[in-house]
Amino acid sequence: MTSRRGIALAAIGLGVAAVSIQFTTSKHVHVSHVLLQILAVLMATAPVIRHFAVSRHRARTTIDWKRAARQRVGDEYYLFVLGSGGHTKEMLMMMDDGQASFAGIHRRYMVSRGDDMSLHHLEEFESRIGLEYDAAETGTYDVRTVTRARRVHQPLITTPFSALLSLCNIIFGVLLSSPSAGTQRYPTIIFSNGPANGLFVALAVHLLKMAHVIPEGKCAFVYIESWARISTLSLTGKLLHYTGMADGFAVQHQPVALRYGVTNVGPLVFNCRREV
Amino acid sequence: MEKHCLVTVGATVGFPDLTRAALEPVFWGHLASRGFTSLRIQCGPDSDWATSDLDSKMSQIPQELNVDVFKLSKNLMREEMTLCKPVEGKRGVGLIISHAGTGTILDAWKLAVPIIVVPNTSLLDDHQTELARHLSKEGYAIHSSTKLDHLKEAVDKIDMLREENQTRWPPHSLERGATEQPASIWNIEVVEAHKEEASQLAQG
Repeated sequence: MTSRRGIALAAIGLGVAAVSIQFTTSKHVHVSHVLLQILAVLMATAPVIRHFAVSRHRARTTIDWKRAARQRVGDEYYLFVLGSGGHTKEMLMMMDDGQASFAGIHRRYMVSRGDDMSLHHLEEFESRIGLEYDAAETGTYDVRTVTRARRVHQPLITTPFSALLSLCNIIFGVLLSSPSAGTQRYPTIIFSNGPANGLFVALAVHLLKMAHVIPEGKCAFVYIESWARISTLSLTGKLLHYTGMADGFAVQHQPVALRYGVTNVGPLVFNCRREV
Repeated sequence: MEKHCLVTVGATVGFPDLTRAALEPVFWGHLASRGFTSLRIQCGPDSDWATSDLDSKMSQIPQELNVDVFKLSKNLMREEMTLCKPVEGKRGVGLIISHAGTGTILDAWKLAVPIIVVPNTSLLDDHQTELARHLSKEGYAIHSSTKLDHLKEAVDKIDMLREENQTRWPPHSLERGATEQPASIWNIEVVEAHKEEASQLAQG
């Protein structure tokens, strides 16, 4: 894996060199110039080829929505992309299904800066796990905060900058920054259920796989459309569906599943334990 | 015996039509006649005019009913919705009347409190009506409009909803087969095609 990453970095370095040489020597046209141009073209096409390679791998990856509890082989590290109040509530309800044990599971929550509501809900959920399960069965968790791609009422002109900042936050602060020792380096599965920041995470994973940083077998992106979407996909859902950036894509109602030809997993939010 | 009714319009946009309906003395009379002892209205940005409206109608509140208006609650589920849960010998089954916000609907489901869902049809693309229709079809909620007649009728239907739900809840929605085990996000497995082929080759 290190050697492949080395090759990728070397290729980028060569590309930069090729372009700069082309600029400095453009007055004298000779054979080396032509060769350099060919090289530059190759450099430009490499990412495109890589994009299709990563996409093809994803197309061959399937998500098995197991109906029965499965045996865990080793440690797992799941990333949960939380969004505004409603999405967070749904995500936690899908998680709180009274399963027997969280042993060997690390849960990382990605929260947008200033989203205290999500922070509050996830802490309530985690403290409940701490209370209800034996110490050996709780697993571990951590929270990472990222800049919002676009705040409400933010002027459109500054959006590209904040979006880029948000993407960097996601790459370096969430995806590449591993939890404490003993857990896996990259998430096994990433869960998202509708907030727009899920799109950024999917994009970041795609780019990191293209650059050979994240191995293709890691960071499977699983999108579960919000329970509130009965017959149409949300904007985030549509974008993920049409770009094919998710490894797994599911909805919670039959009408929307039929309309887009996607998997219906039923209302997973009702897996939640009730306080009757 | 106490019996609470909570009306909630959500935190951000408000829902003047629902707030106005909940402040009608006719509606109060109906609730009182159905044994309710308390009506609390969470009305977000509408709270200023709603408060003064309530103040001007104090004399028309039925004797057995308490009516209160408030803007927001830090934790609506823990602080307000739990009042609608029955307590043996002290409190009867209450009622939540809500805009079609997902959060409130899911919280009501969690607490097993009957809910009347009133979609705010003035919102962009009116996605709330679809959700309300679906919920009433599935038997989770009663669908109503902000019209007083509809609301009164809906209040009369809640006992029916409760009975239906006791036989259906906690089992999952009709969309699933009776024997089929529901999927869980903790059981999801990622299957890579080339690995599967490789293991098949190894077995063969």
